[in-house]
Amino acid sequence: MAIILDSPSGTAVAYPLRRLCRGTTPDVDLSEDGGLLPKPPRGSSQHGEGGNGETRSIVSDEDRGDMKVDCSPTLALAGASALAGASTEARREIATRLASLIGRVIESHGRVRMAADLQVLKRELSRSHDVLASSRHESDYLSIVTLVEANLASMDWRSATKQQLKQVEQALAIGCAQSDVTFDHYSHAARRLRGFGLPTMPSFELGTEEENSGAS
Amino acid sequence: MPRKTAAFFCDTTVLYFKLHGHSLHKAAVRNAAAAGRLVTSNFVRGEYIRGYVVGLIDLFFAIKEENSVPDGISVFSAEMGNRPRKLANAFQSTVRWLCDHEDWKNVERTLRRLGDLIRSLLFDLDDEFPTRSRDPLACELGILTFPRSTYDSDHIFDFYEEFMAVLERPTCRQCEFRDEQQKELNAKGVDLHSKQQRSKYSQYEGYVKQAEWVDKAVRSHLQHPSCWYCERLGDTIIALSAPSGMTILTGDKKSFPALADILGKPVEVIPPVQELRPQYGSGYRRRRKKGRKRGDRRKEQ
Repeated sequence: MAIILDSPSGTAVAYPLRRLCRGTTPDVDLSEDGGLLPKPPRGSSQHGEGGNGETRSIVSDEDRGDMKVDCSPTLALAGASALAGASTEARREIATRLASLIGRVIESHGRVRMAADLQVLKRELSRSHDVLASSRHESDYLSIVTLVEANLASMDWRSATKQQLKQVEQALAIGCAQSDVTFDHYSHAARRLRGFGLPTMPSFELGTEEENSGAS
Repeated sequence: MPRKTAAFFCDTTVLYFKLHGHSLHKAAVRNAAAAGRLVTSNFVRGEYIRGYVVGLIDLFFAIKEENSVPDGISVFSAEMGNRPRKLANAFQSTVRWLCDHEDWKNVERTLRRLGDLIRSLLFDLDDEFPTRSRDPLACELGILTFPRSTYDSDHIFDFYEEFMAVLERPTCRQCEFRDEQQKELNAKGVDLHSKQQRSKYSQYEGYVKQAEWVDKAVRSHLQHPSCWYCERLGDTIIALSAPSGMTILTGDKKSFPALADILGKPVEVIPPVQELRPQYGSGYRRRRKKGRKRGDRRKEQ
């Protein structure tokens, strides 16, 4: 989703809403009239004389307590920006924790302790749903989490190689480094896991030898 | 090892083998890919969607509506008897797979996992089978897809709505395809479905059933397309629409060998896992023996 704004140079610029919320764009007025226009400077004609010489209002919107026109959108943006920032921070924390847990699994690879480390990782992956699902901004990282969960549910832990586990670690680590985790990150991670022979979907046989004729 | 060919025209079983199959089946498809390019069609893709993908969407909505994973699964499984046996096996395995996840009884988490799985099925399918031959039927189900963007459960709703819209009023080339094929077969003098053919190929149960449906379709006075026919005549339509110069690749040994023989098209059948096992198993045992010897030698040193 994008919002079209007039840039100071006079050309229209499309800003993705996600970026708007992160406070990286000029101040925006999301007022009721739908005019997604750059906010005019305070004390300009909005509160002074109109174009036809008529005095519209000499009281500023803020002074008369009208939060709807001017202040509310700014607050909303600030709030949204803070929320997005908070969700990114929360995701980074989760990703760091998950990456350290898969690191533990890699360390204990080949020993009985690996089972315990895997169980802890699975529990943490599952718990991360609640935090990540609360923000749409982090939905693509949640998809990476479900991808890893799918892989762990499809894989026999005793047959997993260290190299395969390192691929899982790389997939989870995407959340630590990136400021925005996008669908492309998810798609790339899925292809990479598949490329290393890591199953991410259920395996089955269509039938017994007798039945195994035609899936149509 | 399959014989060399320019390309293999893969039927639906091959899609299942490559995406969900036993490692031996996956290896068999890989071997085929080494001998010739793997090609499929939108009709085959549509069969996968109608059979497996939409089945999982049913499960998704059953869980959502029941607001309980076990109840949703039980409602879904109650209808399993109405599904083809092979698909029922696939769904049972998928349900087991879903229940292998941590906190699988948590509705939100399971729905998210299932939703992500459903859309990734088609993403993976398109990655694994990027080459398609022209689909003479112009099946509309086969072109349905999910947006390649951030997950949204609305995508599942939209997909289901589009699917139902096609099912209710398909505007494909089914009727034209039927007429064209009838003319072509008559001109070549090919007998696809007569009683004599059915008794000649009676050991191919799948073919006999297909031939009965073809007979019904030929006598049908329906003036508009119906997905009902394609659901039953899938194997025949795939065999008829296999492009010349390509070998039909299938895991279905009960109908394709007969259909291919009648139509004079080459076919390669991937055997069931049970038949693949011995040849791979012996190799595995040989490697293990060698390894043990090496280990023993190391100990001696």
